[in-house]
Amino acid sequence: MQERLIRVLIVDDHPLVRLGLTALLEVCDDLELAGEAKNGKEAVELAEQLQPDVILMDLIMPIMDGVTATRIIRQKLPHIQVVVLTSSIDFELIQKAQDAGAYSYMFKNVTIDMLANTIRAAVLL
Amino acid sequence: MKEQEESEPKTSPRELELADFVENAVVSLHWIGVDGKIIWANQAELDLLGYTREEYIGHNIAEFHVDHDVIEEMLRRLTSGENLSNYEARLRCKDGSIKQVLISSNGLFEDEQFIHTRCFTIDITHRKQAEDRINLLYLLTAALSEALTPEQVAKVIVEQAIAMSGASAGSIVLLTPDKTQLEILISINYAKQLTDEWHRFSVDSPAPLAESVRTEQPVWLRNREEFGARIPLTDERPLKINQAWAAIPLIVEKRCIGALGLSFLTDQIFDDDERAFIVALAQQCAQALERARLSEDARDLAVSEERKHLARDLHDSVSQSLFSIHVLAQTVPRLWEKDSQQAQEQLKQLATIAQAAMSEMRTLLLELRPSSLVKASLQDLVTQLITVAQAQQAVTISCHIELEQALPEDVHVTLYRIIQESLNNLVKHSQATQGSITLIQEGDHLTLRIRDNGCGFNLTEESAGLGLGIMRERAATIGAAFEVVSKVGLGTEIFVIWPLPL
Repeated sequence: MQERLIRVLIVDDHPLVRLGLTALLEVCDDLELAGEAKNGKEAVELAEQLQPDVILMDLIMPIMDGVTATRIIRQKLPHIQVVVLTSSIDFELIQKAQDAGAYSYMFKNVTIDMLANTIRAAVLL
Repeated sequence: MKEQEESEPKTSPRELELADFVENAVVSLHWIGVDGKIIWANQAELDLLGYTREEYIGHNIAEFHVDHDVIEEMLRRLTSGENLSNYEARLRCKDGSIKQVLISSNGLFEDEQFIHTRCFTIDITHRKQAEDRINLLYLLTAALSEALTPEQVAKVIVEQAIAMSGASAGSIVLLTPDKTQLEILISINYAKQLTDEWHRFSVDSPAPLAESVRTEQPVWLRNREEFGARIPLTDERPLKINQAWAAIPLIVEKRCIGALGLSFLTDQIFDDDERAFIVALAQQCAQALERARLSEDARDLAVSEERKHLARDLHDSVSQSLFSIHVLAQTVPRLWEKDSQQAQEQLKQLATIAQAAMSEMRTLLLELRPSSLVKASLQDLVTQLITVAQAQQAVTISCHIELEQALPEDVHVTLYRIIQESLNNLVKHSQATQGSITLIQEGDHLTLRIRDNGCGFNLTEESAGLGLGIMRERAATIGAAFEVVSKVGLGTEIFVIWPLPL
């Protein structure tokens, strides 16, 4: 019997990043795209609506940033894991995201294997 | 007796009075004979220069003039019958100092034979010095206005201070931020060994500069004795380099920031005028240094702001595109195994994103070199922006630019900025699939029109954060009208109308 696919919500304001991450999910048989959000506010709404397993969360975004969205999602929907994926080198910001309840963080130079494995590890929690 | 008195040439009381008048007048007077020798000089003249009667009278006047060509010219003109009025000259005193004087003179002739000169000499040394110093302070203000860095300011001040005060060397030291040390900002004419040794020294050091900073008062050491009495000397520091010292604190808004130091090879008097002048110089110096420091701070701040801006731009654009390329490139081999057709499509997409990343990079470089932004054609600039936008969003954007004349720089840049911001909005918010940009001349005005078929927005509620206010302000700076037409579900249209100059 095939295991259930891991459903991933992609949150990033940059369309090309969403495009790349979507392509990544497509080549991983156990991962599935649940939806895409352009900012933290959309992420909170879609998390509730789509109930993904894991959220790939950017930090610096318009309207609502990733740290705020992570905090709200982890409070409201503690069963959803948040993995931060950022190009920021602001370690204070990354610490804030972890304090807000993010499972892990990765920089935007990560290999796709590492990224996929981190998503898989997050759901085992 | 009476007869004898009468037989001698009689000196009348009137003549005695006259003799007394010239002999004891406060104005310096002398006669010079045809051979250039001094025949007679009054007491005022001897007092002025400090010589005894024997040391002066009978000597050639040229011995006492600093500038030989000046006295030769004066004598030539006097013996040829000219009158000289307020002729500037420099005389050497017995103590070696030099007096600036004005000489008025004419010749006494008998039967067209030159007998002697009648010279009136006025000492203008002080006046001249005061004039020179005022001129110097003016020159200094002008020079300082061009000095941008603290080092440039310090160089101007020390050079001028040396030139005007007759010092042999000078330096400026500044307090370190913790106020415990003094550091040489500039030093002129001191031996390297000395400046190396005193490159940085404690405020508590036994040195005139340190003392002036500690006490916030000028230190005047007129000779070796005063120096030795104040500053303990060791054998390693022989006093051969200077005889006298002046050290003036540099004070800005009641805060001491350092000191100006001057060394002299000869003993100095440091009279009130001289002290006032050197203190005025130090005040100018302190203020100019503070100005230079503030403007340096402002420049640093501007550079740091610009770097932050660039870092943000890099974060927002190129680094995101590169990440996308990085992920897509890694997925291609796996996708190839599953679906080679789709993998080929993805490779094409990769090429498009890479091209867009290069356009983004070029756009950023244009921001770093605004002169290139002005030189590039609007057509090229807009094409570059469209390449980036189309790679980020599944949208096709057409562009039609038709200009009959070159635009003024500010109009060119403003239109570019408005198009740039509009395309940003289109990519980020509109979800449009079609867009168009037209810039054409219509009668007496230029019309820029940017359209998309995206989701649109409610002008009253949702337009915050779209930068419409900034676009409107930009348009206003070139005197253009700005209008946005948008409705939820019905796309967005932006108009900029610029009246052509008559």
